[in-house]
Amino acid sequence: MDIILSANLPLGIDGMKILLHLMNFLILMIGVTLLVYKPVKKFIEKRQNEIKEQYESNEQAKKEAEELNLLYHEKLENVDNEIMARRLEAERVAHTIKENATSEAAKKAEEIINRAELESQEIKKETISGIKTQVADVAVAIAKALIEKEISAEENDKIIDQCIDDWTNEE
Amino acid sequence: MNTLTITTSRELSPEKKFDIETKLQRKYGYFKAIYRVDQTILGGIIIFDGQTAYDGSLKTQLAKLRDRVVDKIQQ
Repeated sequence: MDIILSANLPLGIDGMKILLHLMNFLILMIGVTLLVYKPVKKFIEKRQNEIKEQYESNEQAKKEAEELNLLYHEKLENVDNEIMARRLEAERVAHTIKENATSEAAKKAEEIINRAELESQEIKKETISGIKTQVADVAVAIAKALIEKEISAEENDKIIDQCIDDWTNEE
Repeated sequence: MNTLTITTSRELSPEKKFDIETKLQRKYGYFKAIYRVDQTILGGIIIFDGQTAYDGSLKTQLAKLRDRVVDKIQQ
């Protein structure tokens, strides 16, 4: 060993220097390991954990988003079905209303016609009655005119006597 | 004493008035007669004693006849 360290080797290689370099390297490695490697490793591990957590969080968010998406599509489908059902119901109701309105209108029309017929018959009856009443009035007017013209004093006296006899004999 | 208002369609002769008053005395006893002439009653007589009117006018009888005819028509 001493020989290797003290003698000059061919090609100018100095054993001592090599040893020194090796020791330097060793010290360096130890220093780097202690000062750099471990903190860096710790940092990297910490970063890895952070990334892992973030990844998991993203996965969770993605999963929730997918679930929401599914729910949304389900609701959308339900809404479509509900719209369809409501439209059918509305059509059914409109049809029923239309039928009722038609039959109601027909009924009303019939009532109006019946009422008009009754009223026209009433008017006819009243008109005929009115005409007959007018005939009676005319007959009485003629009788009145005849009486005014033709009743004599004697006939009038007879009427007077008849009236007085009736009244005085009433008791 | 009662007061009777006697309405006729034409002026009565005194004999007729006496005849009427004699007949009415049977019912009313002594009374005072007021005579009126109303041509619109056509004929006959109306006697009003202050409470009741006895209507024997031809006008009223014609009106009653008209009502009877109209009632008959309505039936």
